[in-house]
Formats: sequence, structure tokens, C-alpha cells
Amino acid sequence: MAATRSITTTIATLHTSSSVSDRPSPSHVFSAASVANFPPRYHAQLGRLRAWSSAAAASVGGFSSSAPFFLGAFADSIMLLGMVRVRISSSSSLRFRGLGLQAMVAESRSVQQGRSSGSSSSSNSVMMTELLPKKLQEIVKMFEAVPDPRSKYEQLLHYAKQLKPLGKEYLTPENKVQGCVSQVWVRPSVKEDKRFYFEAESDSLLTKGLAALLVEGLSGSTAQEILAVTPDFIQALGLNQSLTPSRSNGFLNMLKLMQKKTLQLYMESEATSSVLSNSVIPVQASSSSSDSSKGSKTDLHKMLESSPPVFEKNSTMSSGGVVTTKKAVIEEKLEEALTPTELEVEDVSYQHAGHSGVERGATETHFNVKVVSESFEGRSLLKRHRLVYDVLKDELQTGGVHALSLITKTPREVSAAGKT
Amino acid sequence: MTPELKEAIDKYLSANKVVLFMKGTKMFPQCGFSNTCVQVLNTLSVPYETVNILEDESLRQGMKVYSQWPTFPQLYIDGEFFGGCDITLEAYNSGELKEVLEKAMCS
Repeated sequence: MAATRSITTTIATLHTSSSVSDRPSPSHVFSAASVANFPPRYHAQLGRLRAWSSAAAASVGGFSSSAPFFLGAFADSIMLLGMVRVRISSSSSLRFRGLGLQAMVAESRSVQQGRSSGSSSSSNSVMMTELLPKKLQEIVKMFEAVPDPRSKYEQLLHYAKQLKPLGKEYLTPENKVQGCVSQVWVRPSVKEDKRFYFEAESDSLLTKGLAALLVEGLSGSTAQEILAVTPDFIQALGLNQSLTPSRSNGFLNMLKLMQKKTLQLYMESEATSSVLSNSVIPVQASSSSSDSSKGSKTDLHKMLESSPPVFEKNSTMSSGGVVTTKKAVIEEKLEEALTPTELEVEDVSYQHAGHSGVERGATETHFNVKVVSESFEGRSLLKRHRLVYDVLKDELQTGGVHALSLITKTPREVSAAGKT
Repeated sequence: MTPELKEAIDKYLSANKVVLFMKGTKMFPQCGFSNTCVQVLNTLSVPYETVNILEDESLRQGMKVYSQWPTFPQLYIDGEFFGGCDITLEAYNSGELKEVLEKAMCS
């Protein structure tokens, strides 16, 4: 690592570059002597910062050759400002031609952060972009190459405009992305080539752009490729500055829903076409269908198991290796215990972000649950709620579910209400 | 749930007619559901005590066992568990809550 690079070498390069570039010479900012007076710890950090900034600037490209050293000088000023406030007053002028120091430090800081996070994540992302479908890889690379948040945003809007509209009949609750501030629907379909294609719709331009990005990136891939996508690429896109936490959460949920639906669709299509007659394939309970059947491990599952984990830490892996979300588990349990005529489970964790005891961006901690069932007949509200809580005991005690907003009705009550 | 804790809870509930076990305090609720209950009780202008279960982890877990109810807030009227936020709100809307409170106040 560049920490071992001696400070004198770094300064020497500064001197040489300054004679070449027409920018104000950074060398007058700190004489080699004054820098050398700083404790060794600073030297190591200075060296590292310079290495980052030059590596980052070099990797982004499109900069003049003097830029790395320019940034390096900023590194010095930042280090000083950050750590040695007393010394600044005594060191030589930190003013560069025409610009106030504050503005420049602020800009370089954001540039630094953008650069260094870009460079450190690009090393990670190089590893895992290989796991992404080709098209998505390209999109990620393009976003990485465009550092300016404004341009990224505009690119998103561009995608939004390109998105083909989704037929109205597909705007169902099943296709709706949960935990998103705007309304977003996604619809997967599979063609004869066993590749999956997506369509999406949304009522907000920004989320349309995000959905379109995923549609572009994932369409035409195989089920395995889609399920292998980990959410890390979202970081690599670098949209954090343009997206609020709830938007980012929604984006993540879009991906999850697309993956979940891909899995469902894949299993269904395999079930109809395959010769695995002796096994029943479990289908994740969706909000309104009530025939979820328990199944045994099939060859499909073994195949999917071997690909990397799909969902992040908030979802639970059942013992069969098939990925489930808490929502699905809750739905299944309630289906089984109460045989409801109506069941709705909605993840509203985003409404409680920042709540005490809930970490930012946590999902699947708070749910709205609506159950209409005969089993509630003759029972007080309290008893009904206790019943539901009993069924979901595990999720509440150890599963990280903090709260359930319950609506518990009998079929009779619902039809009576409907008539008024 | 130690016997001491249970006894302490029993005692507290018999000494106070209306008790809300919540996240935060009456003045500073720290959860939307807890806040809803506080607002409801305030509207009914009934004197009530609140207990902040966030302050004490053993109390927090203890109350879940005591009430056989896994979440907060928990409303107790006249020493008896009445319900959580959903139930309290619905009872308020139906008028049932007012009735129960009046009965408790009179006894």
C-alpha cells in the first residue's frame, strides 16, 4: 500500500509536476521542511490520501495529468485543516488564485469522497459485476463513469422516458412493489428461450427511471443470472446522493420483487414442462391466492442453492435453501392457521425508519396485516388479536418483527360494512 | 419474569387505574403507535400513568410475558389488559373506550 511511500518522494513528484502544469504550484503551500516536521502518523495518512486521490483520479479518466497532484495538494490541506488547526495559521498562504479556500476544500472533499468511494468500491465491484447480467454490468459501468449526480439523475429520467407502458390489467397488488413511496408495478414474463423479460410501470418519474434501469439491466437474462444479482450494485451506481433512504429502499424492493417473481415464474414454468413428477414445488404465497403447497427439495432448488445468496440479511433462508421473506412466512402461517377469506400483509417498515430501536433502512420490521376469517366469529377484538399474535409468535419474539397493525374481521362484518 | 417483578407490576396496576406501557413518555412518545394511544387518552381527559419500557429491558420483556402480548404500547384499565394501539383506537372510535374508562373511574 502506498503508505510505505516516503513523504519525500511524494513531495519530490509534486515539485516536478508543478513545473510542468500551469496551475498554481502546490509546492509553495507547504515547504518540504514543514511537512516533514509532522508526526509520522500524518505522513502515512497523507501518503494514503494522495495515493487514493491519484489512483481515483487516474481511474476515472478525463482529467489532465496535473490533476492527481492538484488533488494531492488538497489532501494536504484537508489533512491539515482536519487535524492540525493550530498549524494552519502559521503555515504559508493556502489561498489559490481566484478561489476561496472554504469552497475549494468543500469541493475537493466531496470530490475526494466521491473519488475514494468510487475507487474502493470499484475494486469490489469489479469482483461482483462479473456476477451481474451483461446488460446490468454495462449500466453499472456507465453510471460509475459518470460521476456527476446531476448527470446520473438525468440518465435515470432518460430511462424513465424510454420505459414502455405496462398494460393496465397488470397493475395488480401482486405486481406492486412494497415499501415504496410511489406506486411501482413490475411484470416478468418468460420466453421460449427460457430468458426472462420485464415490464414495469410507475406513477412517479424518478421511480419509473429506477424501474426502467432494472428492466433494461435484467431483461433477457436467465433465471439464475437474475437471482444471482446482489444488491451491492446499487452502491456502485452511486445514486445515493439523488435518492432519499425511502427511495433507495424502494429500489431495493423493486429488485427483490423482480427476483421473487422470477423465481415463481421459473418454478411454474419448470413444473409444467419438466418431468419431475414425484415432487410438488412450493410456490410462495402471494397476497390473494391461497393455495400454497408444501413441497420437498427438487433438483431445481439444488441448482439454485449453488448460486450465491440472493437476498440480504433481512430475509430468512428456510432449511430447503429456498429464499423466503418474513412477509411470505407471515402470509403462510396465517393462511394455515386461520384459513382467511381475505389476507393482506404489507411491509410498512419504511414508515418507521428512524424510530427508536429500528435501524435506518430496515425492512420487514413493521407490517400492516388485514385478516378476514370465520375463526374470528364470536371473539372479542382482544381475543382476535391474541390469536394472530400467537400464530406469529416466532416472528415477533426472535424474527425481528417489531409491530403488527392488525385489522381482524369476520366475513359477515366485511359484507355488512360493504352494504352501508 | 421474576416473582419480584410480577409483584411490582401487580402493585403498580392496582395503585393506578389507567396505565399505558409505552415507548417513550407521555411528553415524548418515541413511537407512532405509542403516540396514538397518548393522544387518544389525552382527548378523553382521563388521568393516566405512563411507563417507558425503553428504559428497562427486563421490564420490557417482563411486560410481554405478563400481558401475553408481544408488542407495545399496552393499555391497562383497572388492572386489566385492554389492548394495544389498534384495539384502543377502535374502541375509542366505537365509544367503547369511553365507557370502560368511565366505569373504571367510578369504581
